[in-house]
Amino acid sequence: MKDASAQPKRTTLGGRPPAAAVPCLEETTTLRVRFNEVDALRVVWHGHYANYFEEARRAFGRRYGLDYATFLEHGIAVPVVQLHIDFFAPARMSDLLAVSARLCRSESAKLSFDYEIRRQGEEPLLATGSTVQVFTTFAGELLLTWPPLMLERLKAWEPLWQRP
Amino acid sequence: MDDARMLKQEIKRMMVQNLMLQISAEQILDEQPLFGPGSLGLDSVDALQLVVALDKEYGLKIASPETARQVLQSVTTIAQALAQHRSAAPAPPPPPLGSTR
Repeated sequence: MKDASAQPKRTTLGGRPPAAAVPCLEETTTLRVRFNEVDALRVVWHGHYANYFEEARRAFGRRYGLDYATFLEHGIAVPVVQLHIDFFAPARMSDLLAVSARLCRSESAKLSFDYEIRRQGEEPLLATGSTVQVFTTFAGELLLTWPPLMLERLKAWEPLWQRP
Repeated sequence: MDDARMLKQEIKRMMVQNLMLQISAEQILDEQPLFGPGSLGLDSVDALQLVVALDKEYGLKIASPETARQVLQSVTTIAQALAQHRSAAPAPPPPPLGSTR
């Protein structure tokens, strides 16, 4: 577990240095830690944090029109190809967590999300992380440029981007 | 150094910089595969970054997977695609009259 005093260290993937500040969109959702998510030490098992990120990403999708069903309708898959998590302090059973997902603008055709997890109403970070998703056909062929659906979304988001 | 070798060196430097590789440009071999076993170890995210970099820095657009498979095999194949792209590009317009004196 990492030293929380080292925060904020917005880590990007694979040990690569963080990119320069770019415009982002953000959404936060809350979720309650369930009994089956804690381990013998009564803390959330590390693997569940990926699910928490997914929940935040789905909330983001509902807010900004980026849900998986729409991708599927357009014949696009959006697999996660990179995942990074830094753990600072454990979440425990019945904690109410605030999980934020921040999508930052990218030149290349991918979705790069950064995440932060806190107890609702508290400042200290429990974990941060990031994912990268690419666009593929259902046959698994990588799309090298933004698909039309995403070009529409990017245009619609233009007035919404916020600089961190 | 001839033009082709200079272009390959330029491509290698561009790759190191844009893909944040932990090696020097000199360590990349001309014929070394970029992806797959025994390769430079690039992944799908690197491929996307490379496509953007080639467009921004050289105006070379790679939109189809077939083209990507041909062009993004090695430094040599990228250099060949760039040379072809340059030779196909229209010549720059002549300077306005009187600008050379």
